[in-house]
Amino acid sequence: MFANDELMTIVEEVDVLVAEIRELNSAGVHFRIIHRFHSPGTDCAAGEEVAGVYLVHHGREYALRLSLALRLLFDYLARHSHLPQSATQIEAGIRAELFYREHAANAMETDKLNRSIPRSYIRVYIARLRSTLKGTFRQADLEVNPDRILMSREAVMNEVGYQLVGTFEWVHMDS
Amino acid sequence: MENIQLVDPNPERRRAVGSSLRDRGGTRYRLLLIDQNPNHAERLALYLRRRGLVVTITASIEEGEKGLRRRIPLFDLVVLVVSGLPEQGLAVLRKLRMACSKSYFFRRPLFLFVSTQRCNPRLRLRIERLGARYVRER
Repeated sequence: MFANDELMTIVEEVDVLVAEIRELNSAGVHFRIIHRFHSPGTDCAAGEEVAGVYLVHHGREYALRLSLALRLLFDYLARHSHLPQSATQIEAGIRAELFYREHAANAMETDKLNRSIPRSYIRVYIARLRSTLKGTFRQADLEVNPDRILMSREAVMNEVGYQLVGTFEWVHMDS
Repeated sequence: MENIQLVDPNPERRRAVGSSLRDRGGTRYRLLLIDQNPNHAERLALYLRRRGLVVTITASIEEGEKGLRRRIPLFDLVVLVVSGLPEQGLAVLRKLRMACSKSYFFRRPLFLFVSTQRCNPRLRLRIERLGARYVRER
């Protein structure tokens, strides 16, 4: 049976939407993280700045309104999205990585564009991140529970590991 | 218009239907087709069914089977075909969105707004702001 062209336009559009549903179900939501001040030939090297985080949905970008500390935390969790980490592990990881120690050093000598993330603050930051995600999902008309994107995974003992679920891409800009 | 549950009763024909539009668990996606033109709706449903979707047809969410409105969030896709003025479809789209936001189900279908008439850019923007994808039937 041959389909009429008029109906095929709709059927093709339905195909696209089904592909979107399938992608959302399997991979989760997609985020784009912007790194500024990068040196040519290097990606995600020390000295760059995490300038912004965007949710990408329906081919559009929705900015997550995050403070500097939250941007750093989001970037860190996105890089380690395969591994749930406790607050102590996150603090240790951010301290250990040169990228966060020298954050935005390519642009500024001072620490004005850098933050340390103490262990005791992380629970609060996670709650704020979820709140921002909720607002952005609403703006993008995406009905996803932020708790399922920024997950709290309880360990056997009294420890909670935080994990970001989704797909991430890093875009580098020179300035 | 009477509602028709378009699941092919013939198992052989069902097997022949492409399984391209199924998720990894093998669940078939559920599609609600709102179309006031029964012939058009059935032709379109036939093609969609051939692609593995479970299609429910209704002329409007008001006239639909009892409880349909409440079950809208349970559909994966809602295709709204507007053969009259696109402005009329906008009101229906709002009602659909309202039905989803009042629901206790934490999910919402994707909406496809199909218009047979040309739609001005401002109206199109309003449709997209309501979270629907717009397509003009040629």
